[in-house]
Amino acid sequence: MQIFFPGPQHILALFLSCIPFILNAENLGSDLLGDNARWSVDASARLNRNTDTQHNAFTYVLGLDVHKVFSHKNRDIGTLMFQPYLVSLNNASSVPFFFDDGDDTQLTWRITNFNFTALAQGRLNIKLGHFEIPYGLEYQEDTNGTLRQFTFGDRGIKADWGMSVNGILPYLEYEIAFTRGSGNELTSSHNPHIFSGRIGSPSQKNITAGFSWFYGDVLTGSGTTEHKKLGVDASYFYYQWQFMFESSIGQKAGNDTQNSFAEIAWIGAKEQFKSYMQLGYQNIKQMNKKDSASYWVVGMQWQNAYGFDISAQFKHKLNAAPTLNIEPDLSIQMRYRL
Amino acid sequence: MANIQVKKPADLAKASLAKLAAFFALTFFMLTITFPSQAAFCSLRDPISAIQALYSQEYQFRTVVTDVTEADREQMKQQLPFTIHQSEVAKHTLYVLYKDQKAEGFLQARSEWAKWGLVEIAWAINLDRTLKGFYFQRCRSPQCNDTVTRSISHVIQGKSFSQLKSLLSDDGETLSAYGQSVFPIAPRLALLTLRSALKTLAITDISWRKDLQNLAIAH
Repeated sequence: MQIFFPGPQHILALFLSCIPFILNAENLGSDLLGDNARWSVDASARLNRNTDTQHNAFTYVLGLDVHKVFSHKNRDIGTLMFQPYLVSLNNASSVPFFFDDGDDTQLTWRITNFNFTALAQGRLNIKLGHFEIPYGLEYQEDTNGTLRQFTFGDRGIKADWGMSVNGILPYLEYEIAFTRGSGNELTSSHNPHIFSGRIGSPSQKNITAGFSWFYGDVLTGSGTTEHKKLGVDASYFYYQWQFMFESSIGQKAGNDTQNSFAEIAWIGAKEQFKSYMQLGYQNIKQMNKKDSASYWVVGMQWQNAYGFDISAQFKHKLNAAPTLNIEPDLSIQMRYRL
Repeated sequence: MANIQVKKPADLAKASLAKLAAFFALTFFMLTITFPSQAAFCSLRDPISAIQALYSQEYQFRTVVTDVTEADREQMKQQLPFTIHQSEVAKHTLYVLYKDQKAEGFLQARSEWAKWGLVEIAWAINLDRTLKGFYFQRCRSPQCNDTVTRSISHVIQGKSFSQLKSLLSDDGETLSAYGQSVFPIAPRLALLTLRSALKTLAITDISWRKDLQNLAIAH
């Protein structure tokens, strides 16, 4: 029988999970962080199974989620987000380049930034740090740590280190960002960089639309990949139904590309249950040859009122090409925020 | 030459399952003895659109986060025939609005359950605890349109807690006869909005009393 011996990363993970006890839970935590602070520990375990090869990969995540608003006299100065996450991979076959291999553990950064809001009452803010690249549907939906994702895979990067100007005007929301292009790590090797942004209608409305752009060199394991992309997105909410669409044209490594994405979601009245179906399509022209691929995804997420969350998703190709292969992936995740 | 041991797939699977088991044992242990938390904090957004709609550009705002406790929830039952949901026992934000360095009012966003999902309403409150107005931050029903919003707003604007309460039946589950007469359009949505208004006014004084005293904002 295999005996499980915890490694240093598990000891650190255990330590992070015990922070609530060490700090005597909420009250002492609030005292430590001062006024207007929230904090939480976020833990999840995920199984990804390639249903063709029957290969199983596991991902364990443990992180801290801190949110604090700084105020002075009669105004807010800014908001600090701090989300360091320890990610431990086990038996993973394809991994982000900042992991050594499929059995590695790394400290990663989700959203960790300071948004300076004192300039114009939310109409013009300056954000500095690690944040989601403003582009398309990702801008208005929080998909961090969830199985449900949109189109960041097309661009090869979800969040990045850098600076943005952002704000909400009566009929417009915007964020324009200059970022390092290096994703999790703040590195200058190969000199990556991204200029991105989204301008859209107010996100709280039942019908929204936006225009995005994404230009720059994204760091990969073997150098950088050049991206040029223009996109449009739209969402429509009707009672418990949510319809989302995103489409883009551009170039990836000098090759013309087109991408489209659509999602239909149904949300239970208590908003504890969500099911969705996605369709994705990509087209790439290399030399004089055109390749296209498409896929479908079905998924569900159930969360209770006490921070426990279980989700499952299955992704499968509709059609694939030699340069655009899509592996069938069954994912199951359990997550708890405490 | 290094002696490289290649793990068998079966051993890897066993090790993975052991890790998974350890993870869930830890998770369920935490589940039983700690407090819960809600959505990731990066999804928190200031109600900028609501502030812009309900106050003019000269206003500045300051965030005041407080703990809404189980005791606060119980205390609300003394003022109303209903109270906030248990899942709302958590940290919540009140925005204090200032004009020319002087506090002029508050803004608080509250969620109510409707049969089609959560309705989020931002409430603007005057310092004397009358209602200045409201803004549907999120309502997935086409019924939450400008006509309905104006019609509800016309009735409740400027009203105090007791005046609003008179629009409800004694058990708080329906509109009173007077309430029915003043809300001819979308009465169910009006009822939901009214209950949200009463909870907001009650919880502001219950949960933020000390914070508002510290900011020297008198009632």
